[in-house]
Amino acid sequence: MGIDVEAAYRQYGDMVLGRCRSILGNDADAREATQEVFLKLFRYRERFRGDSSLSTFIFRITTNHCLNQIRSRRRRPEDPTEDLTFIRTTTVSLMDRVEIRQLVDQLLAGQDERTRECVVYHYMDGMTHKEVGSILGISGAAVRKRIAKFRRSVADQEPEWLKSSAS
Amino acid sequence: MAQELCVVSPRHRFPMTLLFPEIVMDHVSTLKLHQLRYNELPANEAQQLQAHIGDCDRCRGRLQALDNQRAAFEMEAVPDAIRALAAKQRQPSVWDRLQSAFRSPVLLGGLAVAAAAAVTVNIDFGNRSKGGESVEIIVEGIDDWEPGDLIRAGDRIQIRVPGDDLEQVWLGDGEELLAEFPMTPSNKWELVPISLLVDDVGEAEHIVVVLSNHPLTREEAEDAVDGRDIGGVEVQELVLPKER
Repeated sequence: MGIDVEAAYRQYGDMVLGRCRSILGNDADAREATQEVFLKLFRYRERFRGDSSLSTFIFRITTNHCLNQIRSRRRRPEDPTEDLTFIRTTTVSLMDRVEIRQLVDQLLAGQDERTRECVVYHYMDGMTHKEVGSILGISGAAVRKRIAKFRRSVADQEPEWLKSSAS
Repeated sequence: MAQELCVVSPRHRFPMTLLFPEIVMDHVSTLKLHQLRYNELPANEAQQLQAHIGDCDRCRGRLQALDNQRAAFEMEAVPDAIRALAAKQRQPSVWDRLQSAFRSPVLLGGLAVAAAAAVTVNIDFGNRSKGGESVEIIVEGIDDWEPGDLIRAGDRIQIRVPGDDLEQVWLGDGEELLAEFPMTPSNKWELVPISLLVDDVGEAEHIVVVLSNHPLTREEAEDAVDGRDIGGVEVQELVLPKER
């Protein structure tokens, strides 16, 4: 099935850019990632069979790309002063936000690829287990198991600063 | 503080709202909001979501934020990289031309002409290659291929070889030699005039390339693959792991 990449960019570019910003946390990386997503769309265009909507297909490519970026970012030190619009809670200090951001990256990077997708789709996007399963091609029960596994892993890795703030 | 923000089981004290402050469980998912805006949802589902949004300040705010994001996006120019890609996409691809050549009743000599015409075009596409010292593998449309990347079903592969003293190339898979191609000796790297479509069978694609400075019969080429030392002949075997 043919996909006109420029038309797809005009139609779905806002969704991709917004999603990249949400996951990657800064505008420069998000813009670079957005272009890379559409390059990938060009490459994978023949895999799109029309079983799901094009927006779902692109949404998944975007998610995978951003999660891979996070994984590779863990291999190089980051500027801790970068824009942290991803963390928009008013209940924690700036230092907390930096640590949270690093923690998110750390926790997600520590998971296998499928689990990372499940976590992001479920917690960040608010999808039900069934909705996540339909995107990933697995059952809702399998998604539930992976989320539970992630939560156990998170519980094991609760950082010291958070323990002290909870007590 | 963290306890109050905890939205997971009390057994797991980790505050998911701290990790994911935009957490939207029990609301319309982000993807659905986008699809609603793009009018991609069935009418009954769209109606249900609209009803929820009408009653939910949070989802209404999220939808408004997406609309604002859209408005800002539309003010921006399409990046040059996307435009360039689209322009390339609208040109007839070299692969299409090669495939046309194969469909025509032209014999191998004609194919060599088609490949010669394709060389420049293909390289200009910015494809990256990897492979042995005497063989390069080119995969259509991949411009960010790193060592260790996997090929995928549907990828098209082409072989490039050094033209020095080269008069013939035999090409095969892991089981047999498939075809031979006469080559014109040159001082450039040349494309072997065939593209291979990667299927979804097996964990890797095996490609055998026999380069010779004189014509070989099939038996001679098979002997070379089996390890017999034949002067002026070089055998390269490439194993490209596939994404599963």
